[in-house]
Amino acid sequence: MFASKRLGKIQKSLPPGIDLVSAPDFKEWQMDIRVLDSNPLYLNQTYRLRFRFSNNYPIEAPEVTFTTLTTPPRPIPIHPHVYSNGIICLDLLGTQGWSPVQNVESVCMSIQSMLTGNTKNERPPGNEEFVARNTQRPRDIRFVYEDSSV
Amino acid sequence: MDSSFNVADSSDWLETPLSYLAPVEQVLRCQVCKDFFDTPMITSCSHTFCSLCIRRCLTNDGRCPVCRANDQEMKLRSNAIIQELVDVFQTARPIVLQLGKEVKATRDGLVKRAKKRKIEDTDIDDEENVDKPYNGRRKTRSQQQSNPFVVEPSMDQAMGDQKDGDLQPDDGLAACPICKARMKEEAVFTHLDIHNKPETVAQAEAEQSRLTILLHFFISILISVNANCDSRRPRTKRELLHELDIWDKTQGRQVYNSSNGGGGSSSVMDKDFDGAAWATSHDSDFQNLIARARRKTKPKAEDIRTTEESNVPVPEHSNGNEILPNHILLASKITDDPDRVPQAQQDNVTSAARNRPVEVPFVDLEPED
Repeated sequence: MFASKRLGKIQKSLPPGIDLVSAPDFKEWQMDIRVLDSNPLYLNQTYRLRFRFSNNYPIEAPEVTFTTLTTPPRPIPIHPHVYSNGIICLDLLGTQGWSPVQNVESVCMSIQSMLTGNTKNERPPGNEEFVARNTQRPRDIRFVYEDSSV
Repeated sequence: MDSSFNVADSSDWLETPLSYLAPVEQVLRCQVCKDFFDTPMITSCSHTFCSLCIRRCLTNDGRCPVCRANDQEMKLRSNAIIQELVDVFQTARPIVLQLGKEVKATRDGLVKRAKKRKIEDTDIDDEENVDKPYNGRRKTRSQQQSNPFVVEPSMDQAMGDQKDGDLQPDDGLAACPICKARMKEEAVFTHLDIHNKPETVAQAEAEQSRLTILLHFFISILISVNANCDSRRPRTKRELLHELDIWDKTQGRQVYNSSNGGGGSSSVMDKDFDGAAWATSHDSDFQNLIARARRKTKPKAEDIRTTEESNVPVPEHSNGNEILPNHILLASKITDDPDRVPQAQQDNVTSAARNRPVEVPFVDLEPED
């Protein structure tokens, strides 16, 4: 009940490049995002974001990851903060950076701008090892946020 | 999508010629719950939220959700003018919105009877609110709360005492959260010691999980009662109890699960949870908690009298405005040895307890006859 009304607000007007794909319930939503400028890394690509909400949302951050699809094609974007399994290292999604005033729309916009500003065609350091070994859910991973430039 | 997405919000104005009212409505809504302010409180950094929302946020991480400045519950002050603004705006809203829609319909040249009736139909909810503008919000909340959770059996062990209290409010007794035996409320803590001599691992596991739930439940009671104290239209004890019941069945479980923190996906409630390891590693914490509880229970009769009669000492910097006699301040620390507290408990419990110097014994929340 706490979450249901809050989540419902997003419907009416979404910023350009952000689309609601499905919201079957208040546990999990899927969103599509596109990078609007001509950044060659992400040109003409659409990416699928999966939001998972706890009952304590918005006090607690939602769990947000990229997911892959073959049809329509939804790859995982190349970015130094995005692991190839879709896990995103972004401070506002962590316990410290999250604020209850954030919402699905603002999270999408932050991720959109995180992609827009990136020029490095690379994965995070240690990506292969992390992807191979990680069994934790994103909310249980302790990221160290050291780099605010990208 | 289904009808639950059709909630009133500020974008309703955008469909009418009165679109400039959208930002007006936006500022009358809490940024945490996105609903109209309910008992607005202003923080020391001058941001306003619903009493319940900001108390939950501060209990969680002690920072303002908007500017991330550190703040404390006891520094919250009521923002009365915002409450009045919300009240009058909510009274006017359905009428003005209706007018706006009619004007739009006229402009579109579609003022046919059928069309008009359709508009009126879609506004039925708003019109109801005209009669009871003050109840509008609470009504919506309780409606939303009531449906999906009625038949949810699984928190019974934690909620047993609460439910019994609801069903049999007149016997003046409290149920032991573990064995459900009914006894005088003062006797519960002493009685809990009986259960504190685990003979099997399974028992130990069950007892510890219940203690954790009790702790979180206690904190949720604190938040609700304090928020209710702020309200100009406080709810009765019975209404509060009902809300807590729902809170615990939904939020409570979540809090409880996350209290397992850091340890990955295995929760105390899970079947595969390693109860023995948990019991060994946290044994001293539970002993501490129990010892503290026992210490508090013994001189209880006296404590209650002195605390209530002296109206809880008011800290100087609060100006005495918001710490009403009924506000409950949690003990400054839950255990004597914070290093031994499980990490997530530390997050949830001791951060909630920080900066609240006054200790009071457990409150009587039995419904009034």
